[in-house]
This record gives sequence, C-alpha cells and structure tokens, in this order.
Amino acid sequence: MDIALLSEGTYPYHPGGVSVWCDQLIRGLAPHRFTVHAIIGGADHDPTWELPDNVDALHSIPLWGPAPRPKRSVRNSAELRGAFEQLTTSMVEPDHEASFLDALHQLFALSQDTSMVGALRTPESLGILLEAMRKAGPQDRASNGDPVPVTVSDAGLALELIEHQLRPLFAPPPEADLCHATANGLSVLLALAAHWSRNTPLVLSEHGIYLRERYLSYGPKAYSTPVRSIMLRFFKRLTWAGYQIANAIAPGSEYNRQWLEANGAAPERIHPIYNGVDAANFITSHSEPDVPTLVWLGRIDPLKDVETLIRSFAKVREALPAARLRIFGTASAENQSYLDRCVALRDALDLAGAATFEGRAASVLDAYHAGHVVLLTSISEGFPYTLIEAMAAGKPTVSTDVGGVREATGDAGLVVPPQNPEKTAEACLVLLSDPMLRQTIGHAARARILSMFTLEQSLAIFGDLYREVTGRISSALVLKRDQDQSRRVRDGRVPPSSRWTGYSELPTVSRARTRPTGDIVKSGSPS
Amino acid sequence: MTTLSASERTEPDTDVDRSDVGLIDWVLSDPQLAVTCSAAVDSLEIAARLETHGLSSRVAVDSFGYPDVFTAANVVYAYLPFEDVEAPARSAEPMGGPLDLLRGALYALPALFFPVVVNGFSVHPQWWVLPVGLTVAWAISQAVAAVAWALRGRGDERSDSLLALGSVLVSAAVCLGCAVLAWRELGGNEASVVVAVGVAVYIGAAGMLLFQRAEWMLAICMLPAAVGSLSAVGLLPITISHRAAAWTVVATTALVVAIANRHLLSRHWRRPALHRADRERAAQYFLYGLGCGLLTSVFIGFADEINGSGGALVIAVWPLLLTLGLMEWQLRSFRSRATAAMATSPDLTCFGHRIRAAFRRSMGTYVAALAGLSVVGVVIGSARHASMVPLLLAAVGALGVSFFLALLLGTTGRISLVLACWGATFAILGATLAATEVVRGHITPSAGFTALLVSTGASIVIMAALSRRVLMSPLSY
Repeated sequence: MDIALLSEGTYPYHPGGVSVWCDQLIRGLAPHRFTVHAIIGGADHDPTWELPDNVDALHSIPLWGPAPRPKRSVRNSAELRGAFEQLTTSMVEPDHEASFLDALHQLFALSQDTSMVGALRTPESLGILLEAMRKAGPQDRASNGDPVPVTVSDAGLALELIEHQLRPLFAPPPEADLCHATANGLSVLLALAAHWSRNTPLVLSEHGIYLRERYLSYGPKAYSTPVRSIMLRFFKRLTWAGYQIANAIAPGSEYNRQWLEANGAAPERIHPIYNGVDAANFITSHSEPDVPTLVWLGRIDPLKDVETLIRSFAKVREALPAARLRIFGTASAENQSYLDRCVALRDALDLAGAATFEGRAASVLDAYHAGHVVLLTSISEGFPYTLIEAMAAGKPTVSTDVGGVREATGDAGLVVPPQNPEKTAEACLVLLSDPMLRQTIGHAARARILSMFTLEQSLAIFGDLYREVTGRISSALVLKRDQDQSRRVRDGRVPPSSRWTGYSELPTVSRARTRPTGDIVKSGSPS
Repeated sequence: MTTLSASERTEPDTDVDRSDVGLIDWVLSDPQLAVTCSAAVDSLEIAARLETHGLSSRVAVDSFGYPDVFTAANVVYAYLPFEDVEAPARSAEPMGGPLDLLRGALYALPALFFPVVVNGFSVHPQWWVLPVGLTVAWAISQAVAAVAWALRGRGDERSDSLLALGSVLVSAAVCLGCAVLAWRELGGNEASVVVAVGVAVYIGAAGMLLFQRAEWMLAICMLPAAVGSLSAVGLLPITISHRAAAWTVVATTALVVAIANRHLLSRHWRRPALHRADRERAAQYFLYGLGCGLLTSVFIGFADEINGSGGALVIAVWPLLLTLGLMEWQLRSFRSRATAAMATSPDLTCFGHRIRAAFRRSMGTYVAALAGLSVVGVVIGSARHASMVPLLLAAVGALGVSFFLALLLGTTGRISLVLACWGATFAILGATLAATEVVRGHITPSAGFTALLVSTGASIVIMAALSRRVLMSPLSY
C-alpha cells in the first residue's frame, strides 16, 4: 500500500514525540511504502531524521518561503474574491461549517489552473477580511469595556497568517492509496486536496489536540483580540473540516476523544490508538545516581511548561538542598526565546549549578536512568512518549494530569495538577525520600507498559486501520481490536503484584462547596 | 487589565446558576487564569485554559459537578465579562529625525576624499575610476545587505563577520577585474586601478558598518580623513600638506576595513547558510545597486567632459549630497507614519487618506529642500559664471528624487518594480543618446545631461504611478 504521511512542523525536520511516532510507524509498517509530505516554516531545511528505506519521497511544503507573485488576472479574479468572501463569512457566521469547506474546495479548484500561492495578498482581500473581523469578536459576551476596535493592521496581519496557512491547499496533492495526517489542522489541507482530486481516504491521528493547542498558542499576549478571534475561528472550521472528511480519527488517548466530539467528529469514526514503545530498547537499571536527581526530557516548548518544572525544582531544593535537575532537550528556532526565559528563571531562582540544560540526550535510555524520578510538566499532551518510555525503563514518574497521562500511568505513577509547582514538588519529594516506593512504582510502570503499550500492539492496530479504511478488511475487526485496548486501559488491568494505590488520586469536592476547591485542585486560596 | 476579585462577583448575573459560584471563585483565585478566561474569544478557549490549570473533565465532574470541562467553560464564559488584554503591539517603526542628517554626512563626506587622494598622491585618474569603483561597490554592498538582513531575520547574527569580509574581498576582486578591463579598453594607468579598488573597498566596508548599526564607529574611523581633507581644502584653521591629507584618507580606509571585520577576532562566526530565496533576493538587490551606480556613472562620465568649467560640477553635486541625510529622515518618517496609520485606521478609506498625507509630507519636504539648495546653486553658479549649472542641477535633482522613490518602493519589498523602472530608464536613456548621435553625429555633455534628465524624469513618472498603488496598499508595510 502507498501511504502519504502528512506532517506539520514535526517529522522529519524536528525532534519530539510526534516525530518519534512517525519514524516508528514508517519503519514498523514496512513493506508499506510511504511518501512524506511535511509542512514546514521556511524553505530549504535539511531533515534531522534519517528517512527509512520504505520512504519513497519527501515533499516539503514551506508556509513562509517566498513565492512567485501570481498573475494580476488571478489576483483580481471575481472567483477568487467570491471564494475568499465565502471563506471569511463562513468563519464568522454560526453554523456555516459546510460553507467553509465549500469555499476551500473553490480555492482548491482555482489553484488547479494557476499558482495561487500569494494570490490572496490583495487590498480587496484585506477589505473582505476586515469586514468579517468586525463580526468575529466575542460579541455574545458581556464586556467590561468598549468593543475591541479592528484596525487595518489587525486585518493585514490576519490576512498574512491566513494566506500562508492556506498554502498547503495549493501544493500538489499527494498521490497515494491513503493519506495519514499526523495531526488535524494544516495537514488536512493536503488531505482535502487528495480527497478532491483522487478521492483518497484519510486516517487522522491527533496526538495532542490540534485545536486545543492553537487556543493555547494564540493566547491574549500573542496577538490582538481581533486577530486571535479570526484565526481561532479559522482553525476551528479547519479542524471541523478534517473530522468530516476523515474516514477514521485516531486520537492518542481516550481522554482526547471529548475534544474531537466537541468539535464535530462523529463518535463512530473515533478509534483511540495509544503510542507504544519498543520495550527491548528500554531496559531497567538497578543503579541510581548518588545525589537526588530529577530528570526531564523533551522539546523545550511553552506547551511543556518548563517554567513550572524549574519552579517545582526550586521547592524540592528547599527540602533537599543537594537535589539536581537534569533537563534534556532542545528548543527550535522559534522557541529559542522561551529557552532563554527558562534559563533566566533558573538563574533568578539561584539554581544555576543544580538545574542544568544538557541539550539533546545522546542516549534517551541513559537520560532516564540519570535520575531517580522522571518528570513531565506539560500543560497539553496526547499520549506522551517521555512518560511511557520512562515507565518502560522502570523509572517512577511524576506527571501532570493532561491529555492521556492518566491512561498511561494508571496507578503506576504520580499525577499532579498542571502548573502547580507545590504539588509537583510534593510528589517528587515523596518519591525521592522513599527508595522502596520508587522501586515498587517503577516495577508497576514497566509491567503496565509491557502489557498495554507496546509498539507491536500500536503498529498492528494502525496496519489494520489502513486496511479497513482502504476497504481491504472488515471494519469490525479493527473496531474490536482498538476497543479491546481501550477497555484494558480503562479497567487498569495490570499484574496485581505491581499494583500500587496510594497517592495519585486527586481528592474531590462536592459542587456545593464554594471556597475550598482552589486549595485542593490547585495551589493558592481564593481571594 | 483589572482582575476581578471573588468578592466583586458574589452576586452573579441572573442567568447564571448560583451554584456556579464555586467554579467562578476557583477561576478568580488564580489571577493568570482569570485574565486569560476574561480575555477568551469563545468558551472552547476557556476549556483549553481550564485544562491547563488542572480542571480536566474528571475534575469538572468530581469537584464541581459538571458533566465535562466544556460545560464548566460555558459557565465561565457566560459569567465572566469580557476584558481585553493589550497584546504586544507590532513593533512600530521609529520616526526619522535630525540624527539622520548626521548619518547623511557619513554618506556625503567621502566625496571630499577622492580629490584629496588625487591631489595628494599626484595621480591622474581616468574618468572611469569613480564609475567603476562606485558601481561595483554599490551593487555588491546592496546584495550583501540583502543577504545580511535575510540572515538577521532568521536570527543568524554570527554570519555577519564572514559577510563583511566577503563584501570587502569580493568588491576588491570584482573592481580589480573591471578596472583592469577599463584600463585596457579605455586607457589609463595603475594608479587609476588602485584608486578604483580603494573606492570599492571603502564603500563595501562602510556599508557593512552601517548595516551593523555601527555609525559611531564609522564616524570615528572617518575622523582622520575628514580632518585631513577639510584642512587640505582650507576649511580648517590647521595646515596640512596634500600628501599628508591623502595619507589620512588611506588610514581611514584601512580603519574602516579593520573595524568592519572586527568580529572575525572573536571567532564567534560561522559560514552563512544561504537559501535559494536569499540568492535570488541578493541578485535582485545587486541589479538595483548596479542601476543606481550606472545612473550616477552616466552623470559622472559627462561631468568629466566639462570639468573645470567654473566649478559647475561641484555646485551641482552638493545639493544631492547635502540632502542624503534628509532623504533617510523622510523615508523613515514616512514608514513610521504608515505603520501608525495601519495600527489606528479602522478602514481602508481612512488609511488611504493618512498615507497620502504622509507621502505628500515626506516627498514634499525632500523635494523642497533639494529645490531650495538647487536655487542656491544656480545663484552661486551664476555669480561664478559657471556653465550649464541649471541643467546639471536639474539632472542631479531628478536623480535624487528617483532614488528616493526607488528607496520607498524597495522598502515595501517591491524591488522588482524598481528593477523594471531602472530597465525603462536605461532604455529611454539609450534611445535618447542614440537619437542624438544619429541627428547630431556626436553627443555633447549638454545632450548627455538632457538625456539623463529625460530618462530619470520618466523613471520618476513611472515610479510615482507605481508608488500610488503600492504605497496605498496596507500590505506594503
């Protein structure tokens, strides 16, 4: 089978969990043949991943590279203006999702005759968008001040963003038996092009939730309210479109199912498929470092909340002055300022000697074994590799309660609220001060991974899903298989000997209580 | 943004169930969460924020009794009034100012150095020395600056060092080749070649210092030559021999080259990673600089034929040199007013009015200053009985206005339009000169200046027409 793997900002150009997953998927599903269609920021990057032998081609689609200016006749065509007007109107009018999809189809059809990249950068398009943006604010909500004015500058920025984000729609459509998008969003534009040109089926994976992560990255401090408002509406409609055309939607965890359904995904098309690890690569170790050491491994990115990691470690150091924190991972060019902020925070907290940024780990396994406890402080996750790899290596973990983290850990790891340094530090101290507890949790964690989250299981489900979506096997078999896995995870079935219950549950409060919720679920008391 | 306290919200709106207060209190207990929820554009954004603060669907059920986080988010959306958070403004471009006049002096002062070197070392340079040195350096420094800005845009500052060195070496090598060719074809001597290469090297290095925002370093480097040159022409109360003055120019050139390459010593440099787009952009800016240099060279070429005619050339050139700083001032002010108009105009009509006013103000100021100085030049020329001064001033003024328009278009990223204009300008210039040759059998300096005036005038008309559409578009800023 020829599969077009569609990625955005990940494989094969950047490190991170999704890229690990892509690499495992391609290698593991040989002899299927793959072409990789990678949406990237600028032009002319070199891949950081070595492409497996069963990858036939790599097509890069730069969002921000310069483009030839389309002909005046294209830029000024009534069809283009009409399609763009429909697109913007459908973003701001309620219940116009189908109209949005239709507008994308019109733009795609126009691009079949001529290059459309950059064609929307016209004063006419700007005027159309400006009008739409006036209707895009949170107008259904009471306001403490005057309505937020929309300016020409806002419209100019939004047009620039939308024009660049739409570029994948105008790239040559993938030619394959099946498209597999690694996330919703811009990758879906490629899938739509393949769908409209060759009726190619689509499998849509959602590791984190694309829309949720757009909501987090397009925060109030990133852009003005009019720009945020229109862009988030664009992403909301686009992800809705992705769910409509996908033959199967595979979130990385059961928890994320709710976001999919909240944005229009049909429940019967959703098949959660957990990431898996090759347990043979993650052996346990009986030795531990001499000084109490915490390890964090991942991409330096605001979504990973490295700042909370550092603040948590500062609190650990108050109780254990000898403690160390080793941070393995790199920041992409766009996250360099975030890395600088993290380093500044570390220095401001006087942790320079104790908390070290060590760059990309030469050996992931050695990195996990470099500490007593492995931490994950993300504010958004699908089904994090850092967590399941650390568990497979028999390390006790402290992780934040986001995405599929609870499904991964079950009882075999400590889970704390996100953005909560106090609780995170408290959990770390519990583990650092009790070797037996670490050992028990470590064993339980490895047992859980070996029974539920192996690479072999994950690949087998994807293989079946591909065959089902392309009509090569019955859908009932696939459904049974992923339901089996989901049920086992929900039931928390792990070997009884390694089961441990003692800390990970968060206390609950009744709805009638109006004040104490804050100090239970999170730190700080209500004013 | 003022954060609502829980006490301010003890009496919720009538459409919110009173039992929702627990959730609202929880949100308000965290100032950061309260701010982001108040500024949320819809309830899904609030759901995302709640999750990142620990309120997952499980917590929504267990702690607050809602079926999921989305229902909880709806409650927050309905209850908390919207309150905008001021987003970081797009960095406004700074206005130009009198300091730009000093920057202009850095461009203009080297015009003094050339005659000082010629007199001091008693060289007899050919007419092609300045055209070759100037044109080669102008083209290469524009290309290098385009690459350097592209690298800066990608956060790469470590490539500056090799770019500076490359700019100097390439300018020297290309100029050497061109000068030797000119020597063979047009006649000359070794000194002409050396001076041409010196001119190119100086411009290449000074251009890098300007790119590096090291104007003050450039000014300090220029001090020896400035003092030497001004003394040599009797504008300073100290006396210095012509030869010594010439050596100060050499010293300045060496200093400028050394300082432009100072980063090489730090070893904090790397080879620039150029993309195909960078090379294309560099090629466009090379052609742009080439066009500027060639137009100026045409003027210099014809001016050489009338050298000594009452100082007409000197009188004609100074209005342009003296207004280079003003050109920069008005260019920066125009862009600043344009970005300010974008940030505050509610619609395109309002933006159009403001951009037209900004253009009239900047162009009007520049043209008025140029015209004023030209009138002074005409008066001086008349007093000194210099020939052709009005024609020369008109040609130089037209060059200045066309350079200003080209810069305006270039800063909007539409360098291809400028190249098209240069193409049209040279076509008209060539046609006019060819017609003169056919009709009169030879081209006199006055015919040459007239042809230059006609072609640059045409380029002004074309660029003004293009500017109207380009500058009126908010997408240009």
